[in-house]
Amino acid sequence: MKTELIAWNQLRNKAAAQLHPQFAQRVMRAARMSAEVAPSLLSYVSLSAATLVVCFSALTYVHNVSIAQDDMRQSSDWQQVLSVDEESSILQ
Amino acid sequence: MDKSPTTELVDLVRRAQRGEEAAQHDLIVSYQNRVAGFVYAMMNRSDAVEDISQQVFIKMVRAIHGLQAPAQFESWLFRLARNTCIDHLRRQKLRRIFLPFEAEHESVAEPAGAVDTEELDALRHALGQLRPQDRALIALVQEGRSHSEIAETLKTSVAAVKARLHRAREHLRKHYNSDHEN
Repeated sequence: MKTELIAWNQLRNKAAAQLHPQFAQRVMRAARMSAEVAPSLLSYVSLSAATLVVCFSALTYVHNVSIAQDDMRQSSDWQQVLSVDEESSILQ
Repeated sequence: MDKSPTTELVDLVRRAQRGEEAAQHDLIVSYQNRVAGFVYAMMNRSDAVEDISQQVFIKMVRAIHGLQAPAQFESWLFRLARNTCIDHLRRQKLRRIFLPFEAEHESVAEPAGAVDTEELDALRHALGQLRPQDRALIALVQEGRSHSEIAETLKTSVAAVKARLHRAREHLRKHYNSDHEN
């Protein structure tokens, strides 16, 4: 039991010896840096909102373009049908 | 009128919560050796002590404003330390699945040139035979935490802490004695 206590004291001493003499200053510096680097909740939300807007705009644009193309194709088809119809009525 | 150590600690914690860097620095200086000892007992590697202790204190600085009861600062700090060590051990375990050679590197427990006494060597070996949760339990007791504080830290009952602690101590003693006798 006594040797176990001695061992625990040695363990604590060895652990303490692993720390740099300026350990606390280093931690404070690292904490300050990580606070500067770490993104805030607001920045996460802003980024998510911006991504959503970009995706929605791209989707709307693609949708509008494809509808316009369909419209053009359909109106040219109708014009063709009309011209064929006119030609046949003239021939009659 | 003199302030008791507890009142002094509560004052220091309150100042740290207000963002006073001097108070945060003083808290680190006051607890760095105890946290390092706890981390060493948990990780069983002296070369991980500084890095993990630093992470514990960075978490402390960043989260201390949210501590509800400044009088329970010590329990809270050791809970942070325990969770940080357990996270590291989990990550190590995961890494071993993907990088099988990592285990061999990690089994080189001490850097070259480090010579431990017989007692410390036996204790480290005995701690290495325990589960991390049991190591945490024993290390918390060594840090002077009471059974009720440990129960609160581990979110369990005092009776469960006592039972687990009894088993963990038995294991530790068995391994310590067998290693020490060899």
